[in-house]
Amino acid sequence: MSSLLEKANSKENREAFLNHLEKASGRKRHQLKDNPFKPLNQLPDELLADKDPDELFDIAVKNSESVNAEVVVKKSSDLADYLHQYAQDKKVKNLILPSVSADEWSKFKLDQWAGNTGVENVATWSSDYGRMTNEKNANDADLAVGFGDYLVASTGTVTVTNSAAQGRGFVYLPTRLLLIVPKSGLVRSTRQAVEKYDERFAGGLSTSAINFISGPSNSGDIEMELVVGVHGPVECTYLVVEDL
Amino acid sequence: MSISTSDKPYKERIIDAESDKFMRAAVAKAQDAQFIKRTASRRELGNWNEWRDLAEQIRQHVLKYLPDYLEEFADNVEQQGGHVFFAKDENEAHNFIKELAIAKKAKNIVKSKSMVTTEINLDKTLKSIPGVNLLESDLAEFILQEDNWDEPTHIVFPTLHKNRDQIQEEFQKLGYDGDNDPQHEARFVRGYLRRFFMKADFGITGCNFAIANNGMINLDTNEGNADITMAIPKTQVVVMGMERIVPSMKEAEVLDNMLARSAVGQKLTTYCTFTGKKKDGELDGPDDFWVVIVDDGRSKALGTEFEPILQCIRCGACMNVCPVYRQVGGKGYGSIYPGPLGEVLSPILGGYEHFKDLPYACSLCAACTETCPVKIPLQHLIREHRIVEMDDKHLDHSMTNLILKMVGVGTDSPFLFGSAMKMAHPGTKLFNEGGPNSVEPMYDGGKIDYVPKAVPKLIHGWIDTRDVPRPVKAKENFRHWYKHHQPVDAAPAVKKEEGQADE
Repeated sequence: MSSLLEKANSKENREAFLNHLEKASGRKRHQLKDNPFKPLNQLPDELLADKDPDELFDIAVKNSESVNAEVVVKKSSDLADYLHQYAQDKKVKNLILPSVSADEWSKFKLDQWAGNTGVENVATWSSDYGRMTNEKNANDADLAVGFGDYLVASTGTVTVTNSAAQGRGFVYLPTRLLLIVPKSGLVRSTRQAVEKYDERFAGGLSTSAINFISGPSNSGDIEMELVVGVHGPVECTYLVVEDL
Repeated sequence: MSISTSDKPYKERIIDAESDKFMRAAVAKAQDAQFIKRTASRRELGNWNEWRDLAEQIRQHVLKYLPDYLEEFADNVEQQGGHVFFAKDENEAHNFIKELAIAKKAKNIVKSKSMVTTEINLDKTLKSIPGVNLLESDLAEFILQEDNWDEPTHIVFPTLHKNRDQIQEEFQKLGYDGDNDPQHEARFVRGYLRRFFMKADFGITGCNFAIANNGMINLDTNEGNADITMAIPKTQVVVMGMERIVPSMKEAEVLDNMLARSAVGQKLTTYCTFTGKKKDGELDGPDDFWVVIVDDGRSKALGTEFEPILQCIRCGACMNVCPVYRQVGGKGYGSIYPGPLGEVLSPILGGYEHFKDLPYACSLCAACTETCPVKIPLQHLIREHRIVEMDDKHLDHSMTNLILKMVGVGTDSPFLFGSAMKMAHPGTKLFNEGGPNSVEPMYDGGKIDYVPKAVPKLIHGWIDTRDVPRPVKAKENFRHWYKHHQPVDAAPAVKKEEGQADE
């Protein structure tokens, strides 16, 4: 029965396919090494390169708001108060937090808040629980407070690296997603963000997913009318920490 | 063949489409709305044509070295513990995934939108496994599934042909008791599908771009369903057309930006994810990661004049500007790939016999080529298909050749030609009276309103869809005028200049 499954990863399956392409195209295989891709222009690197940091940040805020993300800018000393207030205003009952180290929380002056959020039920995305318990906690959460890496000016995007501390379900299942991102993570473009990840991969970063998130989930599938909140979070907030 | 969406002949499909007033209004509205959004987002980026040059270069380079890039990608996936299967056709592709689902004892399969899985007829194959539940999670695909697996009519907006009331009715069968507000309908689906997601054990996604140098998959969605499909199930299968590959994340990033702007007028889709097999320590994502790379006829375009169609990144901009798509909608094409893209791709994947009419569903206006973000010369390729059909495959079995031969004989003989010129006006008298579309005095001698049923198709084709003015009286035609007119002296100034030029 499993005749086809055995062919996966087999040299025979791969070579037959690729040799067929060689024959069909009339072009020899294994020529790439001498002909690597050289882009004919540098537009991706030049995007917004003429902007100073303040202008760039203004563009980031404008583009984020245009994708229905809420942008809030705070000093690290004000984060805890803001999060208390946010949870209260949104009547959050179930909160999920990442299992980042105490050092990470204290870097954002949130170590005390993380231990006392004022929310009735607080779950942590953690290796203390199995896969489905984590997914269930995330699914039950009406708010996830997590960490983003970069704020991308050209698209109004925050990027998130998947990790043991905050997994895929953590980002996609809760009703609301709030991403804390340091202002120093401001980058011009998706190109610049991708280059930073390439550097980090070269430096040993191990992750199965990098998520570029631009606002809350939405769809235009019914009569092309844009509706917000289909599968992923229905609200999305970027909490930018201006002194980090 | 699974790219086919209808058994009806082309002409019948067109007549059906013509009578679907809602669909035609919806398509017109969508095209107009997308025009504004798409144009604004491209202008905002700036240097759009230079971005297109870059995107075209990326796609052409990858096609040129396709086997090498696929090899590099497969090596990387395998090194990270994933599995790669190369499927030469739709049967191999869907049977492989079926075997995998059985081997994994899959019970609840969740899918996110992917044209290639529709192409390989995957849903039907998986549903044939006893005890397996399958759900499409993209809002539009879910709507199609619930409407007894209705066929998609657009590659980006598959339910363009349905309105909110029809969708409300469908959802009521699933327990929805809300109104026809799309916001409420979408929220209902969120809850309904979330319950299924939470028990899903087998996930299937498509692939916008595969990253050769790190073995990751790049997926663009607005709803987030693809990401949940990759989060919860332990097994994930990625199905990708073999041409959907880029050298690195850098080139993927360029194409992601151009895809979102071209498809929906956004700067980037809400979720743009680079993803692969779960790493040690991570708590969700695919433990088991399988990539199925599909040829299914694509290699027939390699090395031919049709190779540029493989540059396509499936943004749908070509159908969003097409005046023919505007009139006939997706169903008229009878292929899951409609519009200019489909006119080129469908005959390659599905064969000329089945899709020979599609290259004629085109006025060669070139609006598609103008808007294509990767610069596929669509109208040239459509014309190439016509040449292949006529000259190589001799698919035209009508009387056209005979008629044109007769025209050749007639125009070759001065006597016959002169007689025809004399008889043209009185000879067409019968056909311009009492017709339904007479618009005298728009044409001096009136126009030909109808021809008898018995005349050959070629003539019907012209008369039925065009205003053909009736030939003027012999005494008023150009030859007569030219023969009798008196040359007038050129103005003195002109004469003087002409003389100087000669010297």
